[in-house]
Amino acid sequence: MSAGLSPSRPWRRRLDGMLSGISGAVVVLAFLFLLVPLGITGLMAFDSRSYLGPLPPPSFSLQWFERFLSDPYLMQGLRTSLMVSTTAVLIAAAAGVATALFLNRVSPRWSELLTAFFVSPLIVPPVVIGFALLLFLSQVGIVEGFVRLVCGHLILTIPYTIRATLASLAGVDRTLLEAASSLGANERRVFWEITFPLARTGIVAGAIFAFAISMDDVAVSMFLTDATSYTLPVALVSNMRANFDLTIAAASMLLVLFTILLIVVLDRLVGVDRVMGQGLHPA
Amino acid sequence: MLEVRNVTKHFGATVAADAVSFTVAQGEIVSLLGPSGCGKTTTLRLIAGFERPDSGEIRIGGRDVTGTRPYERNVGLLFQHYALFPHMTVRDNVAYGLRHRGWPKAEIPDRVSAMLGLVKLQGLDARLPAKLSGGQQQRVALARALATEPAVVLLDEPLSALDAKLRHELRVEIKEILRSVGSTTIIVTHDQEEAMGMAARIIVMEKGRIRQVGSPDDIYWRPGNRFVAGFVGRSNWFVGRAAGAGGGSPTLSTLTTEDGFELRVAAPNGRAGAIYDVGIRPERLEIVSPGAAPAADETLIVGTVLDVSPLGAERHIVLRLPAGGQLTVIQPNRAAAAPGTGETVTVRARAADWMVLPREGESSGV
Amino acid sequence: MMKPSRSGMLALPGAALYAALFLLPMVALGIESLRLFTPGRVGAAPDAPFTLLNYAELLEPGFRRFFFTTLRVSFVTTVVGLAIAFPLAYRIVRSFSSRWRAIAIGGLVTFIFLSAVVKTYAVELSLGSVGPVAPLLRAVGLSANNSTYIEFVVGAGLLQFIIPIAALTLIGSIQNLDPRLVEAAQSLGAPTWKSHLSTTLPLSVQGLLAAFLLSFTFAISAFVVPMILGKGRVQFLSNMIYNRFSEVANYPSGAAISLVTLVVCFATIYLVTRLVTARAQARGEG
Repeated sequence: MSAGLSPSRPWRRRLDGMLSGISGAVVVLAFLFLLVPLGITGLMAFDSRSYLGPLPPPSFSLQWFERFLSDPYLMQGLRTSLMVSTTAVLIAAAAGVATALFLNRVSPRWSELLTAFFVSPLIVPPVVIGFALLLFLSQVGIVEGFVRLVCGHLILTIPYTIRATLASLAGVDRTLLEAASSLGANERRVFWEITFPLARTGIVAGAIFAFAISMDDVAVSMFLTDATSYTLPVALVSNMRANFDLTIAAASMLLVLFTILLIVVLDRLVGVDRVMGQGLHPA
Repeated sequence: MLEVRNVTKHFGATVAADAVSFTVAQGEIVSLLGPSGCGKTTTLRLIAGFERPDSGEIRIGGRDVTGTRPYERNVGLLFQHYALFPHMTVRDNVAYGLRHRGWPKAEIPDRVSAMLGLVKLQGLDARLPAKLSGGQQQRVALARALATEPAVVLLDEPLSALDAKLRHELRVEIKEILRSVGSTTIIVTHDQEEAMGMAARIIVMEKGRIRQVGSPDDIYWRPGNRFVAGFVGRSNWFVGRAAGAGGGSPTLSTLTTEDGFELRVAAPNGRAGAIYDVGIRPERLEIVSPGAAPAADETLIVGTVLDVSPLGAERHIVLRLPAGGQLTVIQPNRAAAAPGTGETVTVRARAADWMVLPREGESSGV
Repeated sequence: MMKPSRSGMLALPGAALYAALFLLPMVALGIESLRLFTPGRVGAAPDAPFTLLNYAELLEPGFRRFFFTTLRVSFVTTVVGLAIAFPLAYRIVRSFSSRWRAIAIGGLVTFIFLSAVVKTYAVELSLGSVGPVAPLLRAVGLSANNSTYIEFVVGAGLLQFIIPIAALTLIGSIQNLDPRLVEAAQSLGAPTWKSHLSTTLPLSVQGLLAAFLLSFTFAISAFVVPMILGKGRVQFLSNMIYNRFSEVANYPSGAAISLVTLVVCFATIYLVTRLVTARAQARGEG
């Protein structure tokens, strides 16, 4: 039975074993690398000491969470963040849907070109966008922090809402639209009764994705804040630079919770989506 | 009644429909048959209004609809993949056309129930399409398409997404329903069984052109050209040269194949020396006892059995001919007399059974 | 499908927003980068003369250092990230049970969504001067303020982003790989390592290039990571731009650096996509 096969040399087998051993080790180390810092942060967030001491904390308390939630500077940032992101995403979603519908209607050659233009802010470093906006808004006399932040977050999020809408529209089977129009529905009715309901989940998921991007931004917001209007990430970053304490660890844990919640919601949406036979590709 | 007059449609440099003309009478079921890319789907889309012809005219019920939008035509459509609205219940799917075609609101529920009764899906009206089998979905689609009493019903490969057994069952049922409703119907398909099983008249298309129009029997037994003969069913083909008129009978002539083989065929009205494609359906060949003498209108062919495949209802026998070609014979699969491999057998072909077609581009030109 | 005027209405909000918040600001950025800056002012005077000084300044060694630090740290980190992400992605696709695969992919997606502030803070807390690693450093005579170590910490910070981005990109392309190819190579007598080298790797080059592009462009435009973890010792182009704004209000210089950063990003994208299409064509013809 060994006649047709070349005899496998022991060093070859050893090399194969090493390969799978190494890749296994890489997998374990990669997960450790990603998760241990978070774990340490989680542990420290519950530290009962009032100063930043070495690991492990001798006992646990919720003091850092209380401090975070009662810190007027950070809470003001959180309020601003929620308001800025909500405002920006609502506008971005509406404008994004309209733009995507437009792109869906023009000839394929134009559509391709214009789509490339409309998603191009994604390849511009956010710092450059922030700086350019700061320059321009100052020149035209828009100095109000909240308005400037909304402007920044708009251009940050519209590409995502356009892309999500385009993907959702493309996910709607063209024959459904033809079926509807053969049954007597005109373009407007086809859109509102068939296209939109079927694309809605994907559009909403895209908006949630955009909201997450907006809530996380530092690079654009840094340029557009003023003394009273600043976002939570900007506040956290300036705290981090000023005094390194564990309030941020507590805030981080709450943000982890927020992120997990977000993913669960998105998963639910995409799950609902699957019943309709369409997918979501936000990233 | 539907009239398609001289309709042409280009996509870029390719002609999808090239001066296509045909008429479908009130209540008639017609099939557009052809390989993919032959223009049958384009023709259907032109009739439905999803595409606009470059030239020509389409009339439905005497009205010119060439420039109108799909929703302005009273056309019912059945799609290959059903195209049921996934976010609407069965009831809402069937009611969709009724709502948009302005049926009185009060009558819609009764009409929906009647349509679901027609396709034998009573009681499923609250289901979502995803909860139905493929066959059930296509029935809902049929109910939806027929609910508004469309002037023309278009079926686009209606059964090809279903498995073989269900396909047969549903084909008979759809045909029955279409007949009972009396709808004017066009079935677009690449499947000859689907076309022949459902339509009274078949339009065979190739490369955007109509190649033949006729009943299923016409298409099968009297193909107008080599394309139709080759696309529909299987046959054994030879190339023959006319030996000259007569041969003893006014209705018969003799064609000589390249191998010097003489075939007695019904006279093709050609000049001497003209070249023909001559073919015969395998089930028209008959194995006879060796040494039998041929009648005047018969040709006897002798060959060696290469392979015998008992395929259920019938038996396919492949013979090798002395000159090197092959000949397929199909027999009903009765218990008696299956020849063994390697055996020499004699096969009889009747003159009337040969399909004799002038060689395209050779005989017709001069 | 619709009348042109109606379609035009749909384009209006997007066009207006992009003009006001993207195109005009970029034009303003370009103009500002060509204005002469007078120290003491906030930005250039509206009627300041045009000059190329802001760009000439960037050729000085002091600036070139930032430029090369950004490229060097980004490149090394991206390569390390891909070296980790590739086996990670391969194992997740091929050796994980479907349940664990879903969990791993879900985890990576969550990680991408996780706030940059959180990831950066976690790295600082773990590897910084107050973290559990600091005593070890002191034991081997290293300072946590050693600039090589700081570069390492910045790299670690970037990897928190790059590993999940690259792994998810690669998981996508490896899932499309036919495992039968490796098995076929093995059945022809190739050992596992060799069959991977001859089948898996060449076929995933497309995925690797995509992962490289995403990771590298992320790294060169990174802002928070070098700002926090770099402690002023390791700074990227993004941080330079911000410093020109916040510290000296030299907008023209910040604008010039912005445009240089932009050009670096576009050049990278151009080169990598050229590579990808060249490969695709070569494969199409072969």
